[in-house]
Amino acid sequence: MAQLTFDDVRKTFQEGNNEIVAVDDLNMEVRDGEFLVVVGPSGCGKTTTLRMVAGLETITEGQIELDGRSIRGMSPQDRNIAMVFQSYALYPHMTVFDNMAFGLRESTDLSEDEIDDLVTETSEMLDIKELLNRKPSELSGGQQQRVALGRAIVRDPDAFLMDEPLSNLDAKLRAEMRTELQRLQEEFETTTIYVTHDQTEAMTMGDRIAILDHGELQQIGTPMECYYEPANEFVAGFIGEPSMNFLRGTSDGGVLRMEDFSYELSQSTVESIGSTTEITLGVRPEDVEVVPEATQTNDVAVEVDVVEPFGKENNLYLKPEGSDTDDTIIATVGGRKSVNEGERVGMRLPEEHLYLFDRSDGTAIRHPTVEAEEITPVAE
Amino acid sequence: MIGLIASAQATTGDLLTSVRESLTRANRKYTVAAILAVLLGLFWVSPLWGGISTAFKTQSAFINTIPLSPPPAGEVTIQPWLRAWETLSPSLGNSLIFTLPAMVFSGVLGSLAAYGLTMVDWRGQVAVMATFIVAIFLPKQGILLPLSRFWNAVDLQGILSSLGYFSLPFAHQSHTTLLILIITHTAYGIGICTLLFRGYYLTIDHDLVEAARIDGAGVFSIYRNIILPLSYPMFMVVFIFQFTQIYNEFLYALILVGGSDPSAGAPITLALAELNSGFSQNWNNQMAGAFITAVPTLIVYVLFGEQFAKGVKY
Repeated sequence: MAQLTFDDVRKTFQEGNNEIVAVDDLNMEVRDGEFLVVVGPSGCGKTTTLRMVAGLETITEGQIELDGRSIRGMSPQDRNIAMVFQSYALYPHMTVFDNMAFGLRESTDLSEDEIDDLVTETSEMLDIKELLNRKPSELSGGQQQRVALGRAIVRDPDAFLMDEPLSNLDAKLRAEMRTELQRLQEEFETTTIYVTHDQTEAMTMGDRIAILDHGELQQIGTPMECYYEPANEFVAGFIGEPSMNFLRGTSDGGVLRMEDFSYELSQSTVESIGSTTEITLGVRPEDVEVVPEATQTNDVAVEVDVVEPFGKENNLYLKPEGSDTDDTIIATVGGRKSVNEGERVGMRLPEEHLYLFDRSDGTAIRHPTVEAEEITPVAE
Repeated sequence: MIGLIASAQATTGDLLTSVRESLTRANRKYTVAAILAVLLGLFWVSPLWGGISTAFKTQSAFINTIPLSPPPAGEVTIQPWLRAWETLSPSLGNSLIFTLPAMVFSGVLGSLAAYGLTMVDWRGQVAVMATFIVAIFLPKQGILLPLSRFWNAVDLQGILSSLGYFSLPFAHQSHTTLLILIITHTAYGIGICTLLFRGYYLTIDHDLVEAARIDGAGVFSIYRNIILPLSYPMFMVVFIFQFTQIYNEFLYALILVGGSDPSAGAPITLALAELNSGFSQNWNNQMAGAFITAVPTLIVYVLFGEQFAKGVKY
């Protein structure tokens, strides 16, 4: 039962005469029982943030509160949190049983029998009961990962901290463990902070996502919010695979003048732009329509540069005709549509799916407008 | 007839050609290296061989033959070995009594020190590590005088008797000297043991210590449950190294013990020196004595040499 609050948290490192800011004035709240994914590129400060919660890094300024109490200055031993490391950090000289029992022996007063029961129960839940007498070196990567999880679960902590636990697994195993982790978290309802650089994990696993870049929080919200209503260019480009297409342009009256084409805007869009002139236009690959010929206004004549077939869909790299750069726009179309490289087709960008960003600071000016009727529940 | 000669010539020609060929191919380097290795090996082994053969010679055989030649027939004797053993065996016990504890203590203390310097976070670690390194480089000769003055000033004899040690059934006069040697060798060995363990602990994944901290283990619990079990290979290295250093040591023994009297606690190194002094130089006794002295270290290396090699290769 624990809410985790970050209050103006700041972390700096001294390197010679330079002060490196790893985390810059982080303010956020992780609700009790929530699965929060902290995501961002390498070096964005997400692991440092996690380690501050664990007590493995000191907090330079600010406060972190767990379950209402400030944990700043508290040693890791006293914080009642459990962590799953990227390298699993299993004790190599101990059996799986002892690995899982160690935390209970060190931080609780439970009898050996009670510990035995807890460890056996948890191992059954994770399907590793037959492995209890083996040493970590005798296990596969997936099994080691389950033991690392088991070690954390058995302690029944106030919060789970996970540092990229799936990154050492192969793609198939990773997909399986993703689902399993979600199931476990829902069962235990323990507050979890999950750090990753993989936006797919963020989208599929998190109740909410916190996106960091260079130590600063860019946005915190549900996966849908971060996907359809990104706060800025960085979030828009980070969430979504393949990532959003960004095109530079200038706003001139009711027209967006891009490098290779022009786009007429509707009145409401012009109003939302206001007086900003330097614009970045964003459009997601799945929203780019490919038509046989550029016929309507705002259609662009393009040449297909590269085709990436995925089976269920195709990624087309489109190059506007007359363009003097090699920049392409990615469009995702259905797998059954056949297109060949070198073909000349038309590209249509529907206005309701456009994202517009202020080029000077990257903030979002306009999000796609989604008609209410488009979102329908599957079951009544 | 001519045909036979011709064919013989041809065969020899083939032979010479193939020899030349094998020498001109990469094999040449291998052959040269092999020859050099054998020569070097013989060179290294020759003193050993000279010593062994001398130890089996009678006095006259020794005078009349060069060291490298084996004892001539009729002049083979094991007398030197018996005489040497007679002189040395009482001191062998002394040597082992102070070597083994000092080896263990310096190893354990070195391990603890290295743990504190690598796995625990506190200020001033660099300064302390530097002190240990300086301690390693302190020459024995340089601190000899302060050391002997120290032991003169500290009346260990008196302390032990006031503690009632000498009323114990197994207590002996020489134990004071042996304790002095244990303490001195432990202290002198801590530096190198710390250095060896530190290098080893730096290769241990720090994640393990962090995971243990999160699991609730304190500093000592982490040492006892995580680090110590993982230190086994390095302990082998340290023990073997320290055993050799302490057992073979001569200078401290000479200054701190004095004579070669085994009942006064003299180690085997001093007894061996005793064997080498005197007016008549009995080289055969001395050679035999040297080999007898070397036997414990040889045993240690034969039994644990593989562990040593494994431990050094991180």
